[in-house]
Amino acid sequence: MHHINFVWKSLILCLIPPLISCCSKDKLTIPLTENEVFNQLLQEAPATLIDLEEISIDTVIIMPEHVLGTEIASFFSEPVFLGFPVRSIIKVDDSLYVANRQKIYVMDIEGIWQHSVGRHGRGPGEFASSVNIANNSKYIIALDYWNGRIQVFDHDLNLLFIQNKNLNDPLFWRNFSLTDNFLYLGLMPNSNDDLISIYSTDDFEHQIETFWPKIIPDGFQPGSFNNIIIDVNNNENMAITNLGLPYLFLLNPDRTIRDIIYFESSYYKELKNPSANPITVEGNTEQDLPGVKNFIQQLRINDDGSIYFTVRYNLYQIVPDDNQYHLKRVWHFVLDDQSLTENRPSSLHITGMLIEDDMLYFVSMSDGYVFRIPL
Amino acid sequence: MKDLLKSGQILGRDEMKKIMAGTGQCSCSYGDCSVEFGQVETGWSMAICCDGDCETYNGSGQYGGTICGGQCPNSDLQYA
Repeated sequence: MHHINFVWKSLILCLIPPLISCCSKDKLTIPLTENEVFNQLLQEAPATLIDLEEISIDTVIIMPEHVLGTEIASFFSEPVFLGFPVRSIIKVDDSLYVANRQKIYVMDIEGIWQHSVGRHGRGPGEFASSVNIANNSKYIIALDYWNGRIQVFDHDLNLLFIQNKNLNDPLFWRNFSLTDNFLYLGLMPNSNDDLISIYSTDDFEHQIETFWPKIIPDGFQPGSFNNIIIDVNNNENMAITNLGLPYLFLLNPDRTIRDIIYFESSYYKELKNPSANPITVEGNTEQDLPGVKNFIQQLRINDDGSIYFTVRYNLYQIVPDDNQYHLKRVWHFVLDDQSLTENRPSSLHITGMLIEDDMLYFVSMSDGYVFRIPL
Repeated sequence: MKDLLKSGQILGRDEMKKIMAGTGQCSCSYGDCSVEFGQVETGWSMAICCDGDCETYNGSGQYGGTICGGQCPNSDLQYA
């Protein structure tokens, strides 16, 4: 009898730890990938699973009052057409700044274009193409990708200085962030460096340090998983995701991982992205290589910790509550013009955004306007 | 509202790939599709977006096809 009790006690003691593990918030409750380096990152902090379909989507019909940039100031005679997908929109005081391929345009709070700087070229204040902008309390910086440099302006768009830099990844998602203290560049390095470089805003030339490992080694595929989307708030708290993976990492100012969020999504399953297990592939065209479809495209972390991100046409907001993030709202923005839906989808594809005081400002793939919507 | 928005024919993903057929960097947009290509010493990248879906390719070394030599239908083709 004593022996039977011992067996039962042993059995119960063996079963309790796994039961506790599966029922509590634990870093192992989210799926792992087939990538060892990435899986190590997933072990570094507790994880939360958020089902992106657990709340209904708010469909917002775009009305004329939501559309800015339909007028130009009388002294600004140049017509404004943003054209190619605009990458970024920033707000400085009461003005909005929007960059397209060759210019930075300035709009007042009423939504009227005031002036612009820049033109196509390689000289100071000129841009090759694919300009992306960010600001802090002192500077507006423009990543002039194809000229391989960062141009630094004051808030009145007077050019202060230029720093040459290898910006070899001119894709249009958010792969950099600027705070008062640091510039974070999530650009594909040319060596075995980490994926994110940090520069002091007092010295844009010398890299302070790097972090976030390459998860696909050089010469292996799918290399696109090494693309980084990053945003950093004024408290230096960071949100980072690897392109095409449904994981969001939240980092402390010391770059330690604080939280990991895994997003459950039927859309992600539809993407059918390749495994993140590194493989060698013969050939060197898009026909030969495994492409990676984006999951999160735009990403913002506000100073209060709330995070906004886009997946395809939807904008999601997640907020911290009792030290755990949960999904708060989902929006989908639709043009209110039925005559356009025959030739194009009516949903707006956000390619740059900012959220301030519950007001969303965004630019989209092909419309050429700035949208302002209360959330 | 109608006057605020441009109209345009949609090109599909495969059609967008074909127009990006040089060296260097180029980009093209048309309707709700865009293609961006960049070649540097160590590798190349290409992003194709259509209808809200984006797909990215990153290769090492030289791109094996013909790049940035096509015609962009709305003259947005841009060379660096």
